[in-house]
Amino acid sequence: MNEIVPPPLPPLPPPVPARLPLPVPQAFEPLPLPPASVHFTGATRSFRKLIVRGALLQLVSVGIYRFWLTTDARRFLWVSTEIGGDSLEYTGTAMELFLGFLMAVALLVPIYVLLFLGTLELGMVSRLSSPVAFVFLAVFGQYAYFRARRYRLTRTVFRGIRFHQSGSPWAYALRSLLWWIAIACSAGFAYPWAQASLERYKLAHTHYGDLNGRFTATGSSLFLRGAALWLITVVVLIAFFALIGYFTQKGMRFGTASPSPQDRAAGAIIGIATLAVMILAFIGYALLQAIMMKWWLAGLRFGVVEVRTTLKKRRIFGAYFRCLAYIVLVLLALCVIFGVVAGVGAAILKVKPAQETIQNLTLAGVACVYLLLAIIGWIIYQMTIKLRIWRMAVDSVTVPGFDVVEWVRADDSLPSSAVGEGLADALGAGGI
Amino acid sequence: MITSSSAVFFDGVTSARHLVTIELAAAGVQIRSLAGEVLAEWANADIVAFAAPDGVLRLGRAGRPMPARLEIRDPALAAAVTAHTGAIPQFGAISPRTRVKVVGWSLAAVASAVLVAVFGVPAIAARVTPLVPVRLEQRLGVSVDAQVRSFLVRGRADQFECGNTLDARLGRAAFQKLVHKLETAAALPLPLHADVVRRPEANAIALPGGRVYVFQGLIAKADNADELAGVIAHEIGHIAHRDGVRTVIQAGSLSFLFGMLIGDFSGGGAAVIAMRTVVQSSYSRETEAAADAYGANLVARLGRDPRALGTILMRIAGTPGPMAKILLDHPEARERAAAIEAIAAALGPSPRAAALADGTGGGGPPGLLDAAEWAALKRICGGAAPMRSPGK
Repeated sequence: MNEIVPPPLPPLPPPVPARLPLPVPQAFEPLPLPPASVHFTGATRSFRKLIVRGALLQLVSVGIYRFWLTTDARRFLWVSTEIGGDSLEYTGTAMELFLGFLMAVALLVPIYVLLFLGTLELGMVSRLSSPVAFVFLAVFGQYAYFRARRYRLTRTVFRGIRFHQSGSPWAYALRSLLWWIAIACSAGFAYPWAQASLERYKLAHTHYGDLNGRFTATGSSLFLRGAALWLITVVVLIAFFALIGYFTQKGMRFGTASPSPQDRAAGAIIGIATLAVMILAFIGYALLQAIMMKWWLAGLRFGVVEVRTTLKKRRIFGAYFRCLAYIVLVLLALCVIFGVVAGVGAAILKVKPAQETIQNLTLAGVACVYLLLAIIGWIIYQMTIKLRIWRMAVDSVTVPGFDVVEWVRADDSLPSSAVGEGLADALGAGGI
Repeated sequence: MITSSSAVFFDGVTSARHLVTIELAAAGVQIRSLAGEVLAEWANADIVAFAAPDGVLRLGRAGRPMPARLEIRDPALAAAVTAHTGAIPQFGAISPRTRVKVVGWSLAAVASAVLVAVFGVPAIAARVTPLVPVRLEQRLGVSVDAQVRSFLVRGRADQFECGNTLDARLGRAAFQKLVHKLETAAALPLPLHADVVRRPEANAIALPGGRVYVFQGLIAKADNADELAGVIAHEIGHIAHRDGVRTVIQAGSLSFLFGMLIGDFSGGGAAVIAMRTVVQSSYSRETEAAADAYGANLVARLGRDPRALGTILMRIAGTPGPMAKILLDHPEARERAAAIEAIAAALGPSPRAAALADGTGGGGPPGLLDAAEWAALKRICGGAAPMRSPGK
């Protein structure tokens, strides 16, 4: 037990020893005073190697490898993030995540059995069980997310001091549920204030030693930045549904076996409109991410330490666009390869296969393309979005007031268990 | 041996950066401030290396709540420390051996789960199914029926069943007469509810709890009452064998098994559904063959020709329907027809077949329906052609 109690604090050392002239002869150059700037020092190559190997091992291990991959990736990203000359450190281990997963299994299995039994019951229970399950899992997902965040923070060490998180996961989940109800009732209008409120809760309960986090960005400022986007989204959606409503009212039928020319025209217009909405949705999503990232970074505070960012929205947007473009190219390439293989195969065999064989081969081919696209797409996503945006965000930041970090003291917080990570993983709320 | 050189020390109590010198003492490393004061003394055995950027040796002690760190950027000093302390274990390092172990044991777990899925789950389901009370099966049937209807019904729900119009009453009566004859012969432990429904496919399904839906497309394909009776008898076979309950038990077990394996608990993930579908389709051959055998016997017990089921199966298989089967959940029609033929041969010639063979024609026991009833039954869905195929 006595190891857990921190030793009595010695009087504070002179705050900036590095600035004093150093009387002792040096074997090498004295370290320069760390500038209060933030850099990403990791090599893309190392991350790519880690991710590609991880994706392949994850495939052959049917996903079990994810705990090791996540740990590798976090260790790389943390260590490559240098703040004021010192790098972050990730002290979590894959075994902890694996144990967290097992704990989540133990907790969730009875719940799922109950939900399953609920769907078998008659009447009200049966009808209510899927919405109840949805709400329960959504709230529980937020609970898990908050606990997983605690795990990550307590595994983050900077200059010999651990980050940690206070606050109640249930309080956070409830807050999040209420905000989601508000968002749903206001057609998305409440979203900026919801984000601000949830971030305020998270940061107010984030601590670096005895230095407390704060979140100073407001919902109104996010709303002002995103209002145009929100308006456009609403207008586009209304226009789209109005278009469908118009054609439906005129008695057009879609997907009929024997369409009339008008039906065909209406189908074509709807198809084009759907494609346009999808493209706009992607652009809107990428823009929203860019706006949110900038807004979030600029709102971070630790005591008097501020975060300033020169991040350009178009660069974040560019990362998303690049990801999409690569994935589309890979999809096209895979389809071409698949088509060529099928054509050459048929030409060589010179057999006209049975209907059923063709169906089965097509299915197998589609499954292969799907699997390959899923793996390559995931790798592309990690490289173009995860790594690139992390790097951009880190490199764009300066931290005025960083000097205060010389005086931060550890408190008696301890690393938390990984059960939150396990739950978040099992509920699909996890991530690197 | 004493080496002295500079490094950065974080004592784990405050975040202050201490420039320090390191003294390599007999059993450990002594960390001294530039003024010579001893800040920490670490035993060699405790020292662990933590993740650090390239070119930095970041040391700490294992299992301490305070993450004190010693960071050495000078390669010469790092080498000297390493030489002094011996190989420093890397905290949380993932060795190639660990990776191989993870992958290897995952594959073993998958293999084991697949074996359980293929052999264990059907065995368990076969033993558990008879223990499920009929009342529970009927309750299950109600909720399965609601789900199936939401999937099958196109258009108005109250017009899903055929035979509600004035014209179709005779057809409905004929259909129920046919069903009643089969049901009486089958002596099921629970009441049967069979209906003809507006679906274009040539198919019929049985749900837990005694519900049978015969699709309009099948009525159109059937040439006589014996063929239709064969199909209904096959579905009664599913009900008698309680295949619906068994399928629910199997699907639940498989979702659970694969969900746990890949950590997707909602069981709705694409991977889980795909794995479950593939494994379940491997179960269904036996199930269908058993229902065929039951159906053939039931029809024979009514004195009719069990081969009629084989005949209509072959006819349906010859014309691919709008819902082309990708995963073969029914054994090939030819195999099934052959198996039915074998059963029919073993049962001996049916009285009607014998009557036909000795040239007495319409002798033997009466048909299941007379010509007028059969004609009415063919028009049960309004006499029109099957409704247009659902949206593609």
